[in-house]
This record gives sequence, structure tokens and C-alpha cells, in this order.
Amino acid sequence: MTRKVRGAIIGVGETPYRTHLEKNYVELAQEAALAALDMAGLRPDDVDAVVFSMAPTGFVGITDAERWAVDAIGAVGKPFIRVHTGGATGGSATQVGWVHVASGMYDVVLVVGADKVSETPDTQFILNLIWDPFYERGFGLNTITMAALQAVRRMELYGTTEREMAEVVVRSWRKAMRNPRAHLKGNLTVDEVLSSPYVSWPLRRYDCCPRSSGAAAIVIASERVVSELKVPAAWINGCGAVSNGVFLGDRMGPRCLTEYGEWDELRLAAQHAYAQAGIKDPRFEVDVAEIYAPFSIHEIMGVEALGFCDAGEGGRLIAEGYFDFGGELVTNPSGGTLCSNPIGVTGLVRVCDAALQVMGRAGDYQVPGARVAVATAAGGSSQFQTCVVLGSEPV
Amino acid sequence: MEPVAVVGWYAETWKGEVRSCRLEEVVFHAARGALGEAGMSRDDIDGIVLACHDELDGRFISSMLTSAPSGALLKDEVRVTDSSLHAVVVGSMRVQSGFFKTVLAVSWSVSSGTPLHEVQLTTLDPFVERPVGAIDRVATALHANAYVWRFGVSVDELDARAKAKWAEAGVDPSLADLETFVSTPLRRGHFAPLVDGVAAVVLVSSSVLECRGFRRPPIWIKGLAWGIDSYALDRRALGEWTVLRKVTGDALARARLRLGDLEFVEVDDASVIHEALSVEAIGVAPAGKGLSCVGRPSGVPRVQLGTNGFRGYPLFCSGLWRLVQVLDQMADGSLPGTGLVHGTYGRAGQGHVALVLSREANVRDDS
Amino acid sequence: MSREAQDESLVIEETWNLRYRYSSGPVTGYFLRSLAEGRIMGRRCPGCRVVWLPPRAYCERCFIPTVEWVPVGPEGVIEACTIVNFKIPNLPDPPYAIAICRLDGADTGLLNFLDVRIDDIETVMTRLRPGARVRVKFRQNRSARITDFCFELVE
Repeated sequence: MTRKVRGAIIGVGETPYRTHLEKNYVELAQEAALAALDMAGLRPDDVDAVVFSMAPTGFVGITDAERWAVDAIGAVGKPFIRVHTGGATGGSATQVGWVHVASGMYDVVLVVGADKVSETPDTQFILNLIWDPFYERGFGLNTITMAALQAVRRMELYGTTEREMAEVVVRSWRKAMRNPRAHLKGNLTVDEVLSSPYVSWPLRRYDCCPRSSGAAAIVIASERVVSELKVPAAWINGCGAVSNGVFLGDRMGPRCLTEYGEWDELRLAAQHAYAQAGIKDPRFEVDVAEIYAPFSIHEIMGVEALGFCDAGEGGRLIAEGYFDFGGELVTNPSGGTLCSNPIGVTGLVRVCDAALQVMGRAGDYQVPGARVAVATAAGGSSQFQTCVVLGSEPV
Repeated sequence: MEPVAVVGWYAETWKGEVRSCRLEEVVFHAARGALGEAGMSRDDIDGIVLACHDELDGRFISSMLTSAPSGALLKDEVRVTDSSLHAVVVGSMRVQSGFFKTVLAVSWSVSSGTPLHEVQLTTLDPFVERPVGAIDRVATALHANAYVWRFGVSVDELDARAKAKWAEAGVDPSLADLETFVSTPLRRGHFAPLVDGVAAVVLVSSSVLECRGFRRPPIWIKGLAWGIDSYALDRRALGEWTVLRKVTGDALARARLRLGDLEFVEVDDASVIHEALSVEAIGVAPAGKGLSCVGRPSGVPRVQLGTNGFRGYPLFCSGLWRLVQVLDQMADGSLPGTGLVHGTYGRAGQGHVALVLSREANVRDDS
Repeated sequence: MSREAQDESLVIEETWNLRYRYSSGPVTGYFLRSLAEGRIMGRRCPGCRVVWLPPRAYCERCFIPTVEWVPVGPEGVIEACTIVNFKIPNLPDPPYAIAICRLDGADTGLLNFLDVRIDDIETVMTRLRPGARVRVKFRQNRSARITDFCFELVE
């Protein structure tokens, strides 16, 4: 397939991730949008089209809240589309924003979203409502138990241990200390993690992401605009996305097409994105990976699915510090989803943090010399996976 | 823009209380139906775009359950949530990007089991809007109120248009309730009756058509555009839909056509006011004359002669459903060769999508 | 965030109680009614022969309608399980176990409660592992709901 128009991220905006009682939903979205435009050296009038990133508005308590946000983000009268693929939303929204440019129809696209997950204490109840009312809703299936079931499969398949999961938490929190926007951060010990109560075996409290509120935005520009503006750019060199069926039980047993204890969907999406970006061996060619991993077990699954190590090796390598700062390939230098999770936007936050790395603008959590970064997002029953490959040079 | 071909389509509507069905099953039938029309299988599809609404479906992240039934198993599938026609918009951009050759767009509206007014109330911001409760029908009435006063339109004109639509829908117009107010000046009979429905289309690039044929000649999307207005009613021009005016201009410009080139126009008719404001904004009726410039057999272009939401309006997927009705009629010749299809979404016309369709892919020389 | 900004801010409380009516369609309807009769029925694809549970009216892989009902169980194997240790509205008080089990004759796993006494979570989890055999236990009073049965360990 011939590539028609190349596009790059030239502006990134993120709010701090915490409870945010001081702003309402649209004000948060506006803050991120203006910050992204500011970095790109553009004004709201320069935006040709808007893509809004928002997962269930049940958390915010305002159905179709993106329509309320139109005025605050300068989108009145403009083309405007909201994308919603559960947790993968931010990654999907990025890809839809990119296709606006890749189609040749638009030059400057704002992708923005906000979430106020802390507006309701009933987050897990709402996340129970995503399941089929006939077959699954009655069982306390939600994102935590869903991840717990994955961890159980991994333990059986590869002998993944609770200690390996705890190492993911400890290292993520430590990395997050460099990120002024991260919700959770600090010097945890493995023993502290292992003595926190079980939430859903084998996941303990510290193995789970927080409920964060916040907003994020990126400005995607066509290559013509990038060359006119002469600003740092994170080129969108590869996009892949794969959806699976909803039932977890389909991904188990001898006749399954994908295994629930692996992130096969991400493996497929990444292969697609790598092929577009011309990446043959990710473990040597990728410098940074912002992996959407709301639970500790997911980072272990993610590094394997992304081809950074062999199957079953992820837990051990993370525990040995292989993916920490100072290494050849750093995962979640921002602290990742385990430290900040404004659900409807988190996938976009991963893209923001990956873009900042490649643009050299990640401040205290900059990985020196980062030129190729990967950002992923996962949603639904771990069934939607997106993968975006960014580079300091276009492919 | 590069034209995108539509090679297969499917739509059906039904009354929820008459037929109970599992959402996933009707989605499967629509996806299979559209693929079947095109003579294609699931294997031929590069990407899927779904358009659906969580609260109307009664399940958050509704596409979790409908992804596989729409044929998306282990494929690239993305879901949009404002308008069924956005699925066609995103699908078309994907095809134009060159990264996708074939895209299936699917949308549905199974809201008969949904507490509609309660859901609509939750779309209002809780601080200043929700306590006042101007949900869609009420907001439409505000537009209608401004409209009738600005242009001196009488209630008789509203009623006459409603009666004509009910008659065309096969309902005895004397049975249409034109007495009971929903919200003044609009009465029950001024609104289209809601039904459940599902619709799907298959989009392919012109390069695919060079390699293979399909069951029937393609219909081309030559131009498309979309846009959204302000959320707050007071910041919109009440009684007219300015965003649709711009959207129409953009769609025509992309198709490299002028308004006069359109041979037919089919607009969103969730109510007689929706219909009137739409045709005026598109420019095929003068301001204030929208109610009488529709449905005239001798009109040029033919306005609102192909589709009629008063036969049953499948709320969320009405846009894609309307598109499929038009595709059917363009294919069998009952609609002429070039026209515009419109859909609106959100509260009382906040958002709009317009597509310019043609049986010909070629661009006119004098553009 | 300034104190002033937070002090100026107002909080409005609201609780949603949205009531929906979900239609099962004939395939799910038959499955649930079979539960009330004490039978678990899977659905087979004529193409790839996969027996789907929960039943599907169409095969997601072959993308064709399924046509055949297949009785499955009464025993099977745990594919994944967890003990839930926090309270979710409308769900039982913790701790309780849920498991995805592949019943004999079915090709996919089905989710349900796993009835087991939980004194100490970690001890119980050594018995609840993928591969452990389970059987279906039907409740006395059934009402055509997925909760008409649960799993229990075969000891």
C-alpha cells in the first residue's frame, strides 16, 4: 500500500493526574488542548478537525460528555468525532486522528480527551456493567478480576510469581517519581507490596492502578505543516490495532485462537505497526515503550507481546531491572498506567509520554537519545489492543 | 477527496415490542447481509468501524459484545459513538489513506428496552442544564418556537407536512396525534415514531475495483463532511442550522460539484422541524419555507422523496439506515444519479454529516 | 491547585437508577431455559465444529450461523479462577470464588461462581488452579438464569 501523507505529533498537553476537584470536565479537556496547541505554536483556529478520546461516560456521570466539551476546546463548527474502545480509547483516537491526516483531508488535527474517574465511587460497579447481562455480569467480573484471571493463567503457563508482579509495582512507582504529573509514586519495597491485602487473588492492592482524573491532548500535523513550522516532531510511523471476541473463555483451551494469559492481540497489532515502521527486531530497535498496563501482570505480558524478550522471560527480566532507566530499552519511564489511570484518556497519555521521549521533551523522565518509541493501549475484556510506533524521523 | 466506492449494504428496522432479539445476532445478520450483497466474505475485510451508543444499548463499552458479531474477530476494528454516519466517515478516511482497501461500517439502534428520557437527561450537564431538562424533543421545540416566530410559520403548515409524511408512511393521517403537545409548538404527530434497526455498508477503494468486480455496480461517495455546533442552545442560532450550511459546502467542494448539480436530497426527518431546518441549511429551500419545499414530485432537485422517517425512525442508526435506503434506490434507478444524504445527531441538531453520492466516479470537467 | 479554587468549587450529588429490559433472543433464551431444566447446552458450528459455550447463534470465526445444540458437562476443568476480596454493589459479600471452566464437550470456557469454603485465601487457591476438575452443581430453585448452577471441585 502506498503511503499518501505522513503525519507527526507536534504538540503534547497533559494535566497532572489526581482527583481534580478544582476543575470540571470541560475545563480539564481545555487545559490539555491548549497546552498541546501551545507546544505546537498553534492556536485553536488553526485546528482543522478534532477527535475526542473518551471511554464510558458513566464514570463522569454525564452521557456524551464530549458534546458538552465542544465549546471549551474550540471545536464549534468543526469536524468532530468521538472514539470509544474502552481502555484502548486513547490509542484508537490517536489512530483515527492520524487517519484524518493520512487520508489527505486534513492538515492539523487535535486529539483530546478527559476523564474524571473520581467523580463516582462506583467505578468497579460501572466496570461490571460492561459485561454481558446474561452470561457474565452476575459474577463480579470487572477489570480487576479480569486481570487476576490472566495472572492465574500466566502462573500456570510460565510460573510467574507474586514477587515478579511486585517488582513491576516497585519499579513503576520509582520511575513515576521523575514524573511531576504521576498520581502514585514513591519508594515502595517488594515486601510492602506483598503484605498488602488481596483484592482478587493473586492481585493485591498495590498491583492495581489508581482511579485518576485528568486530561491529555496531542496535535497531529501533516508533513507539509511540520516542515513549515519547523518544530520537534514525533512521526507516526506505524499503527496497528486488533480486536478479539468478548468472552474470556474463548481464549482458553486447546481450540483457542489466542491465549488469554498472553496478549496475542497486542502481538498481532504490534507486528502490523512494526512492519509499517520498518522495525525488524524491536528489542534492539525500540528505545522506549509506554505500555498500557493497569495491573502489574500486564507489563510482564506486554514486554513479551511486544517482542522485547522471549515468552515467559518478562517477569524475570523486569525483576532484574533490565527495563529500568539506564537500560537499552526503558518501559514506562513515566511510571505508566499503574501510577496514573484516567481511563478514557490513558491510552492517549501513553502516546503523549512516548511522543515526548522522541521529541526530547520528557524533562526529568527523558530517556537519553530516545529515537523510537512504542505506545500501546488495551480495552474491553483485554480484547482491544492498539500499538503506535513513533520516531524522531519519518519512515 | 478521492471517491470511495460502496459495494454492499444492508439495513432493517423492526418494532421492539414485536420482535425480541439479541443485539449481537442482529449485528451479525447486518454484517453478513452487507458482505453477502457485495459477494464478499469476512476474510476480504481489512477493517471494521462500528457506531453505537452505550447508554442506548444498555451496556457500557457496548462494542465489546458486538465486535466479533460484526466480523471483527482478530481484525482492526474501531468504534465511534456520536453518529452512525461517522462510521462511514472514518471508514472512508481509512480507505483514502491507502492503509485499508476494504472497510465494513456497522451501526445499530436497539433502544426499545431503554429508558430513553432518563438516558437523555444524563446527557445534560448537571450544573445548569439537567435541572431544567431540555432534552432532545424539548430542545427541538425551542428551535421550532424560534423558527415559527421568526418566519411567521403557522401551525397548519407543521400539521400539513406531518400529515403528508404519515400518509406516505401508510398511516391514516387523521389518526396522527396532532393535538397532544410534546413541547410547544410541537405535538406528538410532528415527530417520527421510533423503531429499532441495524445497518451496514461495505466501502472499498477504487484500486480494489480495478482488480475485481462485485455483484452490482458501485455507488460512489464523492464528497463528505461533518461538523458539530455549540452544546449550549443559546449559543446556536435558534431556528436555523448554520453548521449544516458549512458541512454542505465542504461536502460539495470535496465532490467538486455545485449545489445545482444535486438531483436529489434526503435529510434527517426525526421531526418535521428537523426536516425543514435541514433543507433550508442545505440550501434547497428558502429560509422559512422548509416545510413546504419538501416532498414535491416535480421539484428539482427531488427533496425528500426517497426516504421517510415516519415509516419508522431507528434512532441512533437513522443516518446509516437512510444511506442504505438511498443506495438501494440509486441502484434500482428510483433515485437519480447524483445526490446528497444527510444525518444529524446530538441534541436538536448539534451535529451533522453530509455525503454526496453518485453513480459515476468521474469528476466533471468544468469544475 | 489552590485552596481557593477548591473552596469555590461545589459538589452536586446524584444517583442514577436506570432500568433496562434486555432481550435474549432465541438462542440465549433456549440456553437459559435449559438451565432451569437442569441441562447445559452448547452450540456447534457446522464449519469448524467448535462447540461454543456460552452458545452463539453464529460462529465468530467462520462467520456462519450455528445450527446444532450439544449437551455438555456435567464435569469439566478449571481454565482460570480467582477469589474476589472486595465488595461490589449487587454482588455477594467477599470473599467468594469465580472460575472459567471448560466443560466436557465444550471448546470454550464458561464463567460462574465456584462454590468452595474459604477460610484462608492463599490455602484455598492452591486447590483452585487451572487444570483442576470441577462439576456442575444445579441449585434447588432455578429461574432460567446463569446463576441456576455453579461449579464445585471434584475432590
